[in-house]
Amino acid sequence: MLTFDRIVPTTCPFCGVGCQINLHIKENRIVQVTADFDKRPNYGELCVKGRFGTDFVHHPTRLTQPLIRKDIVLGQPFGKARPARSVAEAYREATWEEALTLVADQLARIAQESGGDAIAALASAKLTNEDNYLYQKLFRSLLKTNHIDHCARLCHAGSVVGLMRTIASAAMSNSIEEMENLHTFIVTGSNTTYAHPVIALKMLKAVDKGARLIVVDPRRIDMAKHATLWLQQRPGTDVAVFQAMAHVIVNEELYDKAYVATQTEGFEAYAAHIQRFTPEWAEEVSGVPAWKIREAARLYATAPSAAIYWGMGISQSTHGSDNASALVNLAMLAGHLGKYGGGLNPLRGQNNVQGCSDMGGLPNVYPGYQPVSDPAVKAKFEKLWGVELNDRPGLTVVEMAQAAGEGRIRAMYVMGENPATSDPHLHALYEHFSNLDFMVVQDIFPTETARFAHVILPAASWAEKEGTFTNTERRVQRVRAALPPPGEARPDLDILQDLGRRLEARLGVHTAQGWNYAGAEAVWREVGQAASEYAGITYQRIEEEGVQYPCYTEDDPGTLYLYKEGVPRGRGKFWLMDFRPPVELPDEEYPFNLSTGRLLYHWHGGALTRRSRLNDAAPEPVVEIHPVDAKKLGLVSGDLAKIRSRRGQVVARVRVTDRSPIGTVFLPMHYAEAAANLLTLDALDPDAKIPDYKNTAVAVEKAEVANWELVLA
Amino acid sequence: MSYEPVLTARIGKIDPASLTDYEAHGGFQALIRAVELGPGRVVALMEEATLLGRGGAAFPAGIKWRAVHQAEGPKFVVANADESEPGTFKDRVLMEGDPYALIEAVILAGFATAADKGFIYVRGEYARAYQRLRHAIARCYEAGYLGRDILGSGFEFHIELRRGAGAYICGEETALFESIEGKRGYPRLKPPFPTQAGLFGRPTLINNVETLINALHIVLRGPAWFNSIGPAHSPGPKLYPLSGRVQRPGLVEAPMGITLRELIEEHGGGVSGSGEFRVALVGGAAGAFLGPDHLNTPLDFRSLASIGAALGSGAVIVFDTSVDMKPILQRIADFFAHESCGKCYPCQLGTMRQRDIIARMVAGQGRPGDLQLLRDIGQTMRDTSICGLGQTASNAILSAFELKLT
Amino acid sequence: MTSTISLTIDGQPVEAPADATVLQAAEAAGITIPTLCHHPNLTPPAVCRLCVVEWEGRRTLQPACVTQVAADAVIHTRSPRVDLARRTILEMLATTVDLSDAPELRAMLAEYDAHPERFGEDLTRREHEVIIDNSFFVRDYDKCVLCWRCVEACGTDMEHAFALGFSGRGFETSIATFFENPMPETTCVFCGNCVGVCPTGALKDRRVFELEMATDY
Ligand SMILES: Cc1cc2nc3c(=O)[nH]c(=O)nc-3n(C[C@H](O)[C@H](O)[C@H](O)COP(=O)(O)O)c2cc1C
Ligand code: SF4
Ligand code: SF4
Ligand code: FES
Repeated sequence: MLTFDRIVPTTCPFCGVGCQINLHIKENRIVQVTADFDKRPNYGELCVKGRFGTDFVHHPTRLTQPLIRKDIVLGQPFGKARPARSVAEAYREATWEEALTLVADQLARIAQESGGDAIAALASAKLTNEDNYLYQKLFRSLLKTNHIDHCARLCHAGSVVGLMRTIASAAMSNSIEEMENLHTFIVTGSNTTYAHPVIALKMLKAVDKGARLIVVDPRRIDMAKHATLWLQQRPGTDVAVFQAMAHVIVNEELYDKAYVATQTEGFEAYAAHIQRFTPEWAEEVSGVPAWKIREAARLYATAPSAAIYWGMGISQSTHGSDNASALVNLAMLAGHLGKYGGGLNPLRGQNNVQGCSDMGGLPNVYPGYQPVSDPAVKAKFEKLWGVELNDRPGLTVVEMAQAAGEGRIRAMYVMGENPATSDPHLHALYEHFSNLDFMVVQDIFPTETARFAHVILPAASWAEKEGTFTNTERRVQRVRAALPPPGEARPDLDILQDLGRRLEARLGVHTAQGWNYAGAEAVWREVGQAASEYAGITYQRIEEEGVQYPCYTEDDPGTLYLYKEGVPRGRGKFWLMDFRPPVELPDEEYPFNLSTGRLLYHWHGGALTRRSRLNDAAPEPVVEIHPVDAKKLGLVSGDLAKIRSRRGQVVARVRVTDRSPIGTVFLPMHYAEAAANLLTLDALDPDAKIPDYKNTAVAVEKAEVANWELVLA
Repeated sequence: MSYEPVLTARIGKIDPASLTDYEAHGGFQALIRAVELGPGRVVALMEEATLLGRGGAAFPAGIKWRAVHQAEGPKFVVANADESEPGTFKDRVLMEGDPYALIEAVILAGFATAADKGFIYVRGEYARAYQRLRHAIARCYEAGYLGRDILGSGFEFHIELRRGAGAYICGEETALFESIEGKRGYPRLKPPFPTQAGLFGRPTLINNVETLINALHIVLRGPAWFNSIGPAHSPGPKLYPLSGRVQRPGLVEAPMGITLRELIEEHGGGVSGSGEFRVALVGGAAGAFLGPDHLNTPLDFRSLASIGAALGSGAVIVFDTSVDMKPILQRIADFFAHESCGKCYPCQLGTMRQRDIIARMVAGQGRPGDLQLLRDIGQTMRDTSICGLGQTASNAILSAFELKLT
Repeated sequence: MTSTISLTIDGQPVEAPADATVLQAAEAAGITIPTLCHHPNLTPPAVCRLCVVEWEGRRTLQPACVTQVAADAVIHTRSPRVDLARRTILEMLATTVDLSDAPELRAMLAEYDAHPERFGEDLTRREHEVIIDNSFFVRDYDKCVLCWRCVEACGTDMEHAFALGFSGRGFETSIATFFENPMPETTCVFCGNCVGVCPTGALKDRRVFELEMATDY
């Protein structure tokens, strides 16, 4: 029997469920992961990624030494960012002193030449709250730029805008522990079983106990098998279905009159506006039978309490904010807000995407969603940090890259993100990045993005540093150092502070706190000063179990579900919208619709999971094609197919399955060698600036050879 | 005292395929009477009669009927016709010779309990009984005894015939439910009892074939008649499947409580083989060996229980002095090791260890503590097994050692 | 709110909620009852019977993990009858499967003065090859005590994948996939929740298994 050197409790580094896990360490390797059966939120349950996928931290391609492009000679001008085929070939090892000197010099130079607005920074949904807090503070306080964003833009920006403009809060309103006891719930645009496996289990328990589940999804996802009703709408027609449900609720007078009268505004106009969205009209548009829409509306509206859960299928759309607002309208009509098991729940994708947004990893807000353009807020942070600040909201992820292409952004700092697989229309992105004067990537692996960088800084992984993550239900949980970082890799907080000290010296700006924090806990204490909803959460309190914000004081138990006392906006606002079809529809030349998404065995851009044994379970890019389409195309499972859009093409292995509807093919986002985002388009939702990852017109044909080349080093 | 058979009265006298023959010999009279009386009165009659379950556990039938009668529907009636106890063939004779009687009894039970549907679960090997029942059910549908508005009562009832899975354990009532539900034949934990949550989780009346057929006669002749037969504590007519070393093996119908001697001598024509009685296995493999000292013990539930034995299904297998008992014990041990479902540890492990130890004893390689081991295993199985199989798996073997049969 | 009842456990007066199990009532009173198949997050299958207690007036011993308390019950958790049953079950288990990876069970054997060797050598054992058919976990059914936990974790208690079930019967029962197919050909999603609940090391992270192979043997 194996004995372990130590067992370290921490938080799973993968999805937003935030499962609590124990790392069993032997000779500084993670050899086993377990979970405590009495600990929230997962109560001992895990999915394959959490239990078996953390071996990525020991992958031989970990960055262990600062790297500088071979063609850079210190003190001499150097060329623009351009992609290297492999990091191993194009870079040389450097000391921290050399690398950070270079980074500080270049950032300071560009800031002085072109102002902070020429510098953009990507924060990371994978890193800790403390990392992200300090990161945005560094760029805001020293470099005076608000061009800070992260990949939440690419996943839930639609939800955030859709929720903010109606109720003025964007977090998931209910908790995981309520899920087992749901009465009625809607799951839409979320393949929960894959993307949030442990949450899916709680939902299935509710179904076992008799809960009524309504699935609204074009794909035959696993949850559909358990549904009381499955509404299979045509891709991109979500708004039509939700508006028609609202039509039924209003016209059959199923709405919660007291709630509508006292808690909302704009109902009259809204009720009039939706008159044209009849279930019959919606049937035309979406293909969902009118009777099912009626039935779903009744089930939802007449339940004593009902929750709505959604994922990327709702938000990743050029009308993602409308999709989300349509759901808010439904919840307000039915009065399903501010109750146990009743609310609005955008399921957050990454381990700390909630926290990264909370910490101000966004271009328009400081930590705690305090607008940078608000003079009072500006004054508050100027006082807290002791420096002058910039009040112009910054650019979002895709806009930053476009601005780089236009030369408006000259330098970019990327910490723990991999836009070179996760952004849409990658060919365009590559060109934009190649126009940068200076690019830094701070990461644990030589990612696709790192190949554009001038300097690559090796960071400690989540298992090698202290901090906190905030899960999808707003629970702030501890992350603990179980291992020493490999080689000379350093925790992100160390790197940022070292850089902060160097920048202060070069720029002559000094923050009140300086850049010598006593550790992650000290950074967290400052977060509490910056945003009161975290003030009651201390490391000591979350030693055993996390606490859910809002939590204002140390004796505040935290918040199980939101809006008990009404929504933050005061009255919720009914949002009027029209139905808009997706930007790019299939046509003769590109007859199929491409939907992209996730698999159970991989996560996000695949940078971690492709480097773990998880890859054994899903080693190749696979495109799912409906049997009817496959027959027309002469394809059978196991063949290779070329998928081509107006922007690019990839080859993937064919799997014939009726999970996707006829006319839609599905490609996962995890494979750099067949990057789905070479195909997607970068048209954006006008408000949320989120691209549409679910609707791209493509052509599909048989391919003879796979051109896959996955370079990990 | 001469006894007129009741349960087996029609057997051999009527054509088992013929509904008219059955009707001509008193068939469906009990059901007609029951419809006249109404469900409540029928259940009351069943309570007044001290009918102890004939499937082996001797639970009062009236209590079960009352419980299901009062439960909320949907509910079911199940006839347990799995009959896999070694040496037991009474239900087979009833079903082959008088199939309509079982069907009438199931309908009657369904009527009394307001059940929605009946199941007859027939042992897999009983092909002839199965065919005769299938034929009879079809005839009953044609004649209106099954289906809608039975005998003008407004009562609707259906019967489904199921074939057993060839496992002894599937005769255990809850394993039987699992088997009907299409799952592995594992006994369930009790509580809940079948009358609370049985087949498909609904209140269920489950009775042995012989128990159900007794109900017909209780309705026709009344509980007083029933209670007057045999001892007051466990009265009624009883079927004794008699086999082994007797001159006339076969199914015996007699008043409950005849003695072992009466059974062997008066009904079985005496011991065969050496002619000298050695021992009888009473109650099948789950029962116990009774030696000459117990020839005068009445064969009823209470009397046998008082000497640490059990009537079980009523099966009696006789051995004369010329039989070598070692292979018999081995067969019994093998039987339980083979039939244990494996759900609970004491039986899963105990039946195999019992078999291992008997095997080495039979081979002359027993170890000093072996008898103690058998006793420990036996007590553990009896005390802790989930179901009757494990609880009784050591009875016969330990009783054989008590009687020094080896 | 459920009402509270009083009963006696090991001579000690105990108060318990009316719907508590004997195990819960005993634990609350500081009395330890050994368990094996019972797991707080799973439906108790009540198959191991190590938790049995003697309840005065009841014919058989009662499994504490599923038996509900009743007012005025008089219960003994360490009577000679109880100890005999526990000891015998443990001995039989130890002569059937490899308990080397189950320290809690080995401690129980010592506590109950169990002597598996008294059963002799010539016994039927359950023997299985280690099944290595995926990158995540191995199945070493030599060590399986048939506690059912993995089956329940794979079923409605946790994963709803239903990849694990049973094959064989009685002593020859084993945990198996449908048609004994390799795990990747089943509905398994490799959540490892079965591994998480296995008390004996029969299910084990493949990495741990390989390390053990490399060091111990
Ligand atoms: C292992 C085992 C096998 C059984 N087999 C049968 C059987 O074949 N037929 C039967 O009627 N009862 C059998 N029983 C008893 C049933 O569980 C149950 O007690 C019976 O069906 C109830 O009917 P009764 O009350 O009419 O006796 C068996 C019990 C056990 C433990
Ligand atoms: S006593 Fe035997 S047959 Fe009954 S449940 Fe236990 S293992 Fe199965
Ligand atoms: S594999 Fe483990 S969890 Fe499953 S039955 Fe065997 S011992 Fe129990
Ligand atoms: S712990 Fe109660 S039977 Fe196993």
